[in-house]
Amino acid sequence: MTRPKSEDKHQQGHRRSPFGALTGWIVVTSVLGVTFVGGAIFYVWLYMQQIQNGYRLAKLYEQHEALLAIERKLRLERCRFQDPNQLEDLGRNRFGLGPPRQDQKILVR
Amino acid sequence: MREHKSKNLLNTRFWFCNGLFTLITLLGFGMVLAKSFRLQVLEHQVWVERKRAQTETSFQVPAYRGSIYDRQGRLLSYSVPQFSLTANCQQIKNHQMLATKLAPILSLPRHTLHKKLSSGRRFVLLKRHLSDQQAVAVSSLKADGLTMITEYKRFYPHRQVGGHVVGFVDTEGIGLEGIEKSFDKLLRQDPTTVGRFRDGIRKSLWLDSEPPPEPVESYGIKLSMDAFIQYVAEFELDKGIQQYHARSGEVVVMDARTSDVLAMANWPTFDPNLTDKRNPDLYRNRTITDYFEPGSTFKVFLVSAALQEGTIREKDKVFCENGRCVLAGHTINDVHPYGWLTVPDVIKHSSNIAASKMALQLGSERYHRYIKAFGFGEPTGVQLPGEAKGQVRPWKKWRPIDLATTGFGQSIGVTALQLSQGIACLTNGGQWVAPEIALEIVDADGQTVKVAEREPGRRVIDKRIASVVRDMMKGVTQEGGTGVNAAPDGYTAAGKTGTAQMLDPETKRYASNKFTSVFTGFVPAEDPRLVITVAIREPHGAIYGGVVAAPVFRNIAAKVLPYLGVSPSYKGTDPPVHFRLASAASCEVVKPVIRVAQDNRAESSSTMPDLGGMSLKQALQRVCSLGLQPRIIGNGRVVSQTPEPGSSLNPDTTVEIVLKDGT
Repeated sequence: MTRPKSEDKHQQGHRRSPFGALTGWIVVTSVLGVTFVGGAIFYVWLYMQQIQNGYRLAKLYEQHEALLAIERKLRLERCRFQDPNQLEDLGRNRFGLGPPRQDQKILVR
Repeated sequence: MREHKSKNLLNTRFWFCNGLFTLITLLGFGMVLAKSFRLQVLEHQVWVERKRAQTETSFQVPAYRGSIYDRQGRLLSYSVPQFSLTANCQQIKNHQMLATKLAPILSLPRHTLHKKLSSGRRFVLLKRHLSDQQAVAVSSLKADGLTMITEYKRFYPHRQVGGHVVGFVDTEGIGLEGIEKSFDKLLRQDPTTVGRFRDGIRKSLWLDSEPPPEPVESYGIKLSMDAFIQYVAEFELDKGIQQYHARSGEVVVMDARTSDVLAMANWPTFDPNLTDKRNPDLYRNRTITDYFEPGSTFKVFLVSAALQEGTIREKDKVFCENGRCVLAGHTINDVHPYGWLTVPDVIKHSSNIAASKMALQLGSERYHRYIKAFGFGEPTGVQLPGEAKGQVRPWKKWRPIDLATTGFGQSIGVTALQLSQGIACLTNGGQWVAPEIALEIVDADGQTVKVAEREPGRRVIDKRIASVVRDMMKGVTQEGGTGVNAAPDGYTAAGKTGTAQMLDPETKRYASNKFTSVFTGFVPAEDPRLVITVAIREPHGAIYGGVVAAPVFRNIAAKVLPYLGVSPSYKGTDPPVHFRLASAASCEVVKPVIRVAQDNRAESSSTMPDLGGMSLKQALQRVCSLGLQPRIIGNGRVVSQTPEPGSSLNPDTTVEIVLKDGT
């Protein structure tokens, strides 16, 4: 007397189920664990990046401020060249210039 | 049975240990929980504050003081960050050595530095506003305990040009004088304090989602003053003062159409960049703070008032008593004796006797009313601190002699600005308009935010009377007048000279050897563009306004009118022989001298000329005309050259020209 095939299959499945459940549990746990650990690492990485960027931003801000200071000093230097006193000094002493002689003046009519 | 008993004992001991362990664990957790509760709930604020103190810090976002510009947008006053050096004395190991190293860098005495560094304090300010070179040198020392903090210093790039007008600020950036003081609230803005994180070694990090705020500059001021005109006025005033060894002097230049103040020059000059500001004699703006007796310049206001009131007419004649007259019990003299003079001649020849008679005829009350209406005896309202109102006594206190002398500008005190404003009233057709020094409020880029509102002013005399008086003032600068030295070449001028005795502060009487020389007027006479007043105090060698002050007026006008685009005119007369004429249509563009010379290489000669004693321009012209390449060393005049004079040349020769100052 032989058992029907369907009953065999049922018995085989019943026999595999503890192993299958354990495997499933391990897989799920592993995935969850990896996800959790991954998430945690990612979170820490993000936090580290934030800190690093914070340092970078602070440094860039200081550089920006220093550049603005240099820009202001350069603007001041440029303005010094507009000082009529200094221009006259330069003209007279460095380039040997002087006021135009009367014969150098041209009256345009 | 025995086995059973031992099993029971084991069970009891197991459970006892188990319970004890559980209890200890629970107690442990309980204690942790209790401590957590205490830290997180009961002492929450305390720990939050501690955390803040350890991880957060604050910094100040700079707010630069607003800039001051002239009417052309040239910067007159500007704030720049500068380092200041501080020390934490507790961190310094060797005070003596550090003081020795710092002394030459900071240009401070070593013992002063040593005293500061040995004070034991945690914060000592060693020096404010280091130069960039000093900051670099201090940084290179890398000394423990030294810190550089950023502060803001005010710079005045045009130095003494307009120094009295612009004023200055103190070390905290608070305006103390001039525009810096009168517009302090607008120019000054407190820095914003912003929090940020720091780590254990006090290194900053920015964790906010918003970017850090930008440093900002407060609103600035655009003045009516023109730096070039101011420079010319100061330069010419200096020349006049030096020539006559005078004690001090003032010049005011105004726009005759708008009453804008274009220049306020003072002598002695003042550079606001200098740190020593303890002497008010140097930085006082005399054009508004010091008043003087205007002398004969005041006759134009007397004549204006008399013509307006109808007590005299233009063609009336006044007898000048041949130069000497007793009026109101006092003797009044003229410089030159005159007989009958018309009213324009009274102005032209400046007769004191005629002016006294006219003043007595006009009467104290009416004359006083016009004096006030012309703006004397009251501050003009220009937005500068410390403006004096002058000296005009109530008319009820005038004796007849006071009335007579006020007619020719004695017994009355006016400032140079008031006098200019009175003349501007005549050029404005009899309308007195308050002078303006601040034209606009501008943003950090110099763009206009708000334009100053002008007051409509008040009518003092009729337009026709103003025109008549202006015509009379033209005579002063024409032949025979007292101010012939005031007319610049190619332009017509009108004005009035004044020479007033000064009161001796010790004797309270007029000093016989102290005078104020004044010239006030406008150019061109037909279509006034500038009102200029020159007052020179205590000149030596000459005293008359027409000799001392008028040339200063002329020189300023001669430089400023072309700058303003006012062409010289020679109506009905030929220009002086030294003027070359060109029609506008055929006017060629003049190339730069050096370029022209370089193009004329055909002129080259085979021997080197002698350049000794030439200016740089002359030497360059000569060298380039020979087709040679110049190489310039130094400034001033040529002291040596290579190749030597007379040596042979080839076209590729480079000529080395050595110049030196003071040769």
